[in-house]
Amino acid sequence: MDGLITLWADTGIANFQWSELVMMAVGALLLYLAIVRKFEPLLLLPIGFGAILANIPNAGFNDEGGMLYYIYHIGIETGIFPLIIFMGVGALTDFGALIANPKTLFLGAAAQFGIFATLFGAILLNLVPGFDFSLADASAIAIIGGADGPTAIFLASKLAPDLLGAIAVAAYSYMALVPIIQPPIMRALTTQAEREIKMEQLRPVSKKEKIIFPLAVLFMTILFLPAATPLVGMFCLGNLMRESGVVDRLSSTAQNELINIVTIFLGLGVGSKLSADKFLNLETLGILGLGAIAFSIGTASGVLMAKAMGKFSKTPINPLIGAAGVSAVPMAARVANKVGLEANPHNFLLMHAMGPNVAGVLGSAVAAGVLLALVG
Amino acid sequence: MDITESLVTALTLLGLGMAFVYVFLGLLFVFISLMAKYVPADQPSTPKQKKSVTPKSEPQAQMSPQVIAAITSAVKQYRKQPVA
Repeated sequence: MDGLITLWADTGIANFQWSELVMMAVGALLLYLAIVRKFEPLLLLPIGFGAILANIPNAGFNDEGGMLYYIYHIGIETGIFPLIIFMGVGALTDFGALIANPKTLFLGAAAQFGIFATLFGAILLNLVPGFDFSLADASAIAIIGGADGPTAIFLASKLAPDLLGAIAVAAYSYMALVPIIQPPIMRALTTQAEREIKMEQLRPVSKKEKIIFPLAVLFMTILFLPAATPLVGMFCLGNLMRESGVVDRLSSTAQNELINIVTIFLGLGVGSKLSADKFLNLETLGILGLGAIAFSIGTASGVLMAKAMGKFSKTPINPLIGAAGVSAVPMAARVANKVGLEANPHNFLLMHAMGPNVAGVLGSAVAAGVLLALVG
Repeated sequence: MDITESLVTALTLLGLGMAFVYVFLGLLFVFISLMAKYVPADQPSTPKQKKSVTPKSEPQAQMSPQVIAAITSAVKQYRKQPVA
């Protein structure tokens, strides 16, 4: 009989707390979004599953010695997983469109306004009772506006590890929602005539330029912003492997096997941070709200900057490509293309939008470096 | 920290951060523009194509008319098959 009681005391049913059940429901919701709605499934699926595992009573996934505990400490607390992912993203990125039309760098820069404006918003939220964001917390939340998952996780792991779960979930959710959040803002800020603007064909970019580019970016980061070199350095390494053409095996590993393997563990690690005590509070709601604002401001400032540039530029600029300045590669560029096609079915903006899109990746890495240097 | 003090810090970060992002990407703009001017474009791959075409044409020239006739008839026969 004693054995039976002990066994009962060890079951999940006897040990569940309501908060754990709620977090499992959150995990199940993420699984639903990933499987049924196809929202960023590559990340939301392992995150959702990780959230369920992390909240199993008595299983000890998150306790010292548990699997998720080690995954988190080895890969995320150290910042290694997001950096390896960033290397893969570098190997996947073709800077050709940006090198052919370097003006788009300014669109990528403008869209980072979302990050810094949200920083202001997060501090302002402290006026509401129940919120207490430090400057470091606010910076980590603001980086959601960069729409760059690895950068957000990297910065959050350095500045506000307690908020990491909420920040990562917000960042990836909004990246998945790019096709829903961006178009209304883009339409509201542009006229039909502006959306129809056709852009000139991009010049061909030589192999030498593509090889020199990542080295130049790295060199500049070393000179001006060493705090951003972990992110930019890994990104440039991946890109150099791709463009040099001499290490195709490494490049292919970085953009396929390695990024896939690390994505599984990154997802599980982030999911492990979705524990009831850290997620079920008012601050999470605030983070989700601020993330949406950050994203919208970033989109809007990219579009407005493109409009302003179009007025002074000799070559025509379609303001829609400004929205792609928030990173979210290549989703934001596809959205710009789609909205452009709605206005003019013969106007393909995809390649033009890739310029600001990859500039946005660099821009948010630089912004993260600035925040790390000033706040961290 | 006092809230107004934090807000001022946030505002400073906003100005400083945006300025830095612009300066950094602006310098990169200058660099790319210089690179476009001074880095030579890829040599058009036509000379290479000529080279690769020539070896192909040589065996063709060496091929005996009998072999060509055999292949032509085989192809003709093959083309007839699916119709039948």
